[in-house]
Amino acid sequence: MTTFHVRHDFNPKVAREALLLLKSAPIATEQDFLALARSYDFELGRRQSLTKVVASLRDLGLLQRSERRAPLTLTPLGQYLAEIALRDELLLAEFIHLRYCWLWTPEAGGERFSWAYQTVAGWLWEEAPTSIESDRLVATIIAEAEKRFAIKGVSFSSASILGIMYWLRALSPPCIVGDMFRRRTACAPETLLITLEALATVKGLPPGVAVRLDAETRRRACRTLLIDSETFDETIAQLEELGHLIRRTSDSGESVLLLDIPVPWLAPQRDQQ
Amino acid sequence: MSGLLAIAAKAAIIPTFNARALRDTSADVHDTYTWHVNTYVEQPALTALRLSFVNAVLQSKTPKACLVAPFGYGKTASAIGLWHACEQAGLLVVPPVACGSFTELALAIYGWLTFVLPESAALLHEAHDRFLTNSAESLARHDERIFGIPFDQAITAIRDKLERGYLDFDDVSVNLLAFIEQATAIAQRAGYKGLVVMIDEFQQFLGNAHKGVLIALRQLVWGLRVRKLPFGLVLTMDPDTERTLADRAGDILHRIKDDGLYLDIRHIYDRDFPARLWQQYTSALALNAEEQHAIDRPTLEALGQLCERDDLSNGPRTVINVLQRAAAQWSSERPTRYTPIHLIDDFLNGTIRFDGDRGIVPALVSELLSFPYFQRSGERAAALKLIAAFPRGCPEQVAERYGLGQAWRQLNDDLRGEIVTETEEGLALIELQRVGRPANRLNILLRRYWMQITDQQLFAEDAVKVFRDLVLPLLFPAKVHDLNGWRGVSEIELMADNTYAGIIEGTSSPAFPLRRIAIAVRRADSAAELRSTIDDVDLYLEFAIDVRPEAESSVIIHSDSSHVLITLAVNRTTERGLSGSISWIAHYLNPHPISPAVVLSLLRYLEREQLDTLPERDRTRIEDTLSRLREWLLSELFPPPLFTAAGVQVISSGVSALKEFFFQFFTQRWPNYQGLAQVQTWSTLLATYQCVLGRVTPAARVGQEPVTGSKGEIAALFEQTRHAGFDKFVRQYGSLLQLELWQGDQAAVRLLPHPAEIRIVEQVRRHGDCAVRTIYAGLRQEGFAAAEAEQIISLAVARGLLRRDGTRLTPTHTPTELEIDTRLRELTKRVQTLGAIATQLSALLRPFDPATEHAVAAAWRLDQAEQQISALEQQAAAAMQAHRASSRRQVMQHLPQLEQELPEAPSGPVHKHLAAARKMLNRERDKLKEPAEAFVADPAKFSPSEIETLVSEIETWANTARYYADWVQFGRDLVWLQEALSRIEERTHTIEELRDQCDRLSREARAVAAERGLKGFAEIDRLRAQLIGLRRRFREIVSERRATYERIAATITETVAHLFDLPPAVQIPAYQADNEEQSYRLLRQSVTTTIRRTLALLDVGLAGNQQISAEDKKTVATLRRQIRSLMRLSRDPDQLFNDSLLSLRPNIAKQIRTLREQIATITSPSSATTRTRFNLVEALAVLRSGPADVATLLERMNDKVSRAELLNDLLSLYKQGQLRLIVDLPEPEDAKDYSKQVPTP
Repeated sequence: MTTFHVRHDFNPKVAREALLLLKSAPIATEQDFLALARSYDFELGRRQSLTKVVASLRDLGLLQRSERRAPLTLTPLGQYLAEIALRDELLLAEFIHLRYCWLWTPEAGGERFSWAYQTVAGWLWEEAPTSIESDRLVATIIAEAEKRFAIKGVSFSSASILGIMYWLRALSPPCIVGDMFRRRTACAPETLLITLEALATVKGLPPGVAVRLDAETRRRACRTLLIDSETFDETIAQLEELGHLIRRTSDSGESVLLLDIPVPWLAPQRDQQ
Repeated sequence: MSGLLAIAAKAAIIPTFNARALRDTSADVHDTYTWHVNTYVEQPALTALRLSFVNAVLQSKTPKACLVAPFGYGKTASAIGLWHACEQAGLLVVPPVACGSFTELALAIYGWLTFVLPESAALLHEAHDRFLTNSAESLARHDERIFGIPFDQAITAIRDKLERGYLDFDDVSVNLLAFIEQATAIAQRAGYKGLVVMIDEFQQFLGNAHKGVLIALRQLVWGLRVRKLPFGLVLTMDPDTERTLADRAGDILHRIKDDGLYLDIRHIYDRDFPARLWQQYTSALALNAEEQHAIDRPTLEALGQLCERDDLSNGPRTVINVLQRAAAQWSSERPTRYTPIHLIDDFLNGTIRFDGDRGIVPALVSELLSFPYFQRSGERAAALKLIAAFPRGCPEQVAERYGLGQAWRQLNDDLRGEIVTETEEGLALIELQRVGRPANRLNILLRRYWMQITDQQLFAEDAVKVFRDLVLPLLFPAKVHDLNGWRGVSEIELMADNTYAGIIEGTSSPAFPLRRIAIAVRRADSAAELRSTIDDVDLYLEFAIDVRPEAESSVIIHSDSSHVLITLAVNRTTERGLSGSISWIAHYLNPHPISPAVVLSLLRYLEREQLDTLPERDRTRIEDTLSRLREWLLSELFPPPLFTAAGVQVISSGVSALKEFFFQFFTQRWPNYQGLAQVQTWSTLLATYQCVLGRVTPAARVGQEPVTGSKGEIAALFEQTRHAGFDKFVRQYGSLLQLELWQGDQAAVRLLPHPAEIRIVEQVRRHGDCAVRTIYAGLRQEGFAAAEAEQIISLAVARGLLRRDGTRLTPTHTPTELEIDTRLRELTKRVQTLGAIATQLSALLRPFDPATEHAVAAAWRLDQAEQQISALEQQAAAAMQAHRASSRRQVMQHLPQLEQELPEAPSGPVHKHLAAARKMLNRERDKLKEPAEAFVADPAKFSPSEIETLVSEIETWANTARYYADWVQFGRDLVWLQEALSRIEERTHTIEELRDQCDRLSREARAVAAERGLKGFAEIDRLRAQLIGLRRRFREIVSERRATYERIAATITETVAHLFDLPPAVQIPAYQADNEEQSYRLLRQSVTTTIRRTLALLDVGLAGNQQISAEDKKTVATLRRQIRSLMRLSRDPDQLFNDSLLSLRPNIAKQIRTLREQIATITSPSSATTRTRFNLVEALAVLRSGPADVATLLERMNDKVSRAELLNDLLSLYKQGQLRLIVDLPEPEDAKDYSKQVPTP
């Protein structure tokens, strides 16, 4: 069985608590991790074991452990997100959503759980407004996975959908109200900036080259951020006004030159290639 | 009047004349409309329509033109312009007229044509009269046909109404068409190229568009279509009428539109219209050069931009209104050129009445001017007005023209994007843009916030209130359930000391649920402190809001660990600013430094926005931003270092930080606390738990033994309808309930006390008793929430560990080992008196082992045993009572027997034995009699055994006595049989055999009585059976017995006669064969009576002898005493006779004989007297007891004695008391005449 499972043990609250704990002090073992969580009355501390949480953090590249007995240490991205976690839970959820979305790309491949995540999110975005039917999503993902990866025996279940929904439901403004998925009408400007940079990266654009806002780029960005096209335009205008990008219009269409990237390592980035 | 004054006086609304005005004041109508024509500016679209229309009339196409627009768009003015233009084209035009019916229309045409063509008045009158007559006749005929109204009567009334224009009917339009044809012809004959009729305000004509009007209109329109006349019809109507017509008679509307002369004039006014109109005014009214500048060019341009927008103006009516204002201003004492700023001012002060009905411009400008941003600067305010006057955009040079270039640029810099927008033509208010208007309401709100932000706003006096309103609900979100959220936050109210205070209760950590916190929010410089007198709270939490920029936030925990002061420096500039996803907002707050106070102020501003009314997009974005701002604010107000200084390490910020703080603070304060409320439904669960406690054994209540049963039973005990999932359900109870067995269908749970229950029980035991309040306070000190503390006390009581008596708690008694053992022995003893007991009861009375059993449980076990024993005892007592009653009845039955003397033992073979037995029975009876009476009097005094013995002895005695009686009877019967047999002198075989058998029976009876005594008494039944058999056989020998009887009777009769020397006087009863005893008894009685009566007569005889000596008298007296003595003896036959032989006892016979001899020595009775008395004796002897008739007596004596003698003797006997004399008065019918029966001697 090839797993495409998105861990359902890992949700925004758990992620925030784990990052804050790991940021606060070096943690030698999972038992210490658990004890520390309990000392702060964290929800994390009510679990029997934090193995799966640790695995999730590691899957997302937020935690590193050189060897089995080595202490649990946040990666630079993990440390960055831990700082975000301290002050901006909403943005943390957006960033982890992006992280799930960018750990696999059609161009470079990557983690299969990431493919499953972005496929579910993307499918909902395509169908929006649509009701969320877990069984249907599971069937779709399994069929898609077998087709794309030419494999049999896909490990993906409604628990995986649950793991995805934790993060989609945490986005603000929400894309899920009740059981209905709708495209979002706003997003944090930084997330679009990160997304455009990631798109430029996977397209192989050299650093400093403007990103053409062609239909495909717009669509892919909107799909990633689960926003509608109007929001895309508004956010581009907002980013321009804030000085994060320069918008250019020429005969070949509209393009943007990205001036800075707020979060390194979160998504593909050209100067890190 | 100058031209400007004429403009100023010009009515904004041109009134339309009606049909009568056209007929009666035609010249005035003409002049008025002509004046308006002078100031009329024809719009290009109308020019095209006019040309087409005129051509169509001229070509006899009978065209129909229609102008549609709401009020104020110049429909009437346009019609007047068209009227004038048509006249210029050589047409005769009936000017715009308002009419309400077809007859009014005909009247208008008739009136106006008569005015224009006075020479054709007669023709016109004739035509009009025909129209009226035809119409009236047509309707009168209709009425005659349908309603039967006589034609002559109807025509007069109809004609009158028609003339007044009150009447319309289906066929009126047909007649109108004919009239129009004639009028057109008359006009043509007068040299006109055609006739045009203009109906203004067509809605009046249409009225309520009822069926009749629509039919008539349809006939008119369709009639015009099929006629080729140089006639044109012009209609004006508002959009509502157009809609009505479209809905109810779309075909008519389409026919009108078919001519291609249908124009909605709402959109025909371009931005140049005001300028052109002003130009028209200047030329028409011949304004001089100065007057021409009463309004400047930019104003006319601004007015043009407003006039082309039907949402911002009422089109031409607004234009005219403004031009009038400009003219009036120039005509005032201080002539001033009218500018766009004046225009907006007039909008704001309401001078311009036609502002598009919605007042968008004045409302918007008024709102913006209210912001301090504009109030602080007159130039900015003026620039705002200037910009507002140009919806398409105010160019910078226009602003420069009014000296507002700098302000224009400032607004452009400050407000562009949210309040103003830069269009191709200049700067315009965003809100006035139809298209390209930013949908981003949030940005507008932010800009507006920025415009109104002041120091006052940031450091408002109401910072405390804002904190209460905005921050407290975030820190203490509303209660969801007992383990989530808080209640009472909304009840934190302003106190007299300007502090907001109140008590909230809720949960921030499930580890410390339902905390009760007294909260106060105050300014840091306020001296007020949270009143610590508030009872029963877990924490006094005080927020001091410090608005000084240099202030620093801090947390201070008071020494008693119950009071926490959090000082919040809300106005301290944050180092990191607005970071993350809201960093862009800083742009809108520039140049104000970012601080919690600023964000608080912004939040307060944004939260006033009515989000419900906004498009979803705006609403979503604003809500998202609000969430982010709130998170930033809390994160900024409650960063981790704030708590570190107070010795509490937290790693989160914001609400999470406060939660961590509370958790650690509470953990330090109540280190041993183990919460009772572990799940959100805890109170419901515990209610069930308490119910369960009431249904299980004390041992189970305190966890000494499990509660066992089937899974279904155990689940049902906890009110679970199904046992599936019960094992998970149990977990909700935590340590209070353990599932010990859940296998197959078997289940066992153990109910365990909470440690706090044990503690309070021990405390109560130590003190003997405690106030509930004290225990409650102790539990609260340990960290239990108020509700938890109450529950713990309730649980301890429900478990039987404590007893609640009002406001006091007392320990339930726990017996010592000795007490339990003693009680066990007592119960065992009681059980033993009950005899055999059930196994279950035996189990309850098992020995107590303190090592394995709690004393309370053992006591409960013994309670259960005692209950069972008591029940058994009650049963036994009831049984005993019943037994006593039964025994008493038994004894009572025998009591009379005990009272009576036993019959004497009969003589005969068993006499000796029976006499001995009787003696013994008497002795026994004497012994039993007293206890028996005592028992009957009060059975309760006798023990069961005593009763048993007594009853047994009495029963035995009674049985024996009964047997004794039977023996006595047997003995008598045996003796009697023996005697009877002995009386029979015959020696027949039968009799001999009977005698032998009787003797054997006698011997046998004697042997039984002798050998077995009382024990053998029961054999009497057998003996009696034999005796009965013998007696039966005896009864069978009748002839022998009869012969014997008769012989004996004769013997005794003879003996008595001989003894008294009298003839045989004894009456011998007849022998009764079937009752020999009775026969002998009667015989003896008869003999006895005879003897007694004879003795009585002897006595009478002695008494009657008066001729004796004194000595003899003494002797007589002695004799009489002897006689009386004998008489007394003779009353009892047994005294007279020997039992067996039925012969007089010798002593009696001797006494009688002696007596008679002595009497004889004294008296010499006459034979007559003797005879007489003999007869009397004989007669008396046969009398039966009871009264006897003297006549009967005489009859018996066969008249052998005289009545006198008899009566004398009877009287003597009476005196001696030997007989009674009874005088009886018979009823007349029973009376007898004795004189005839008994002759008197």
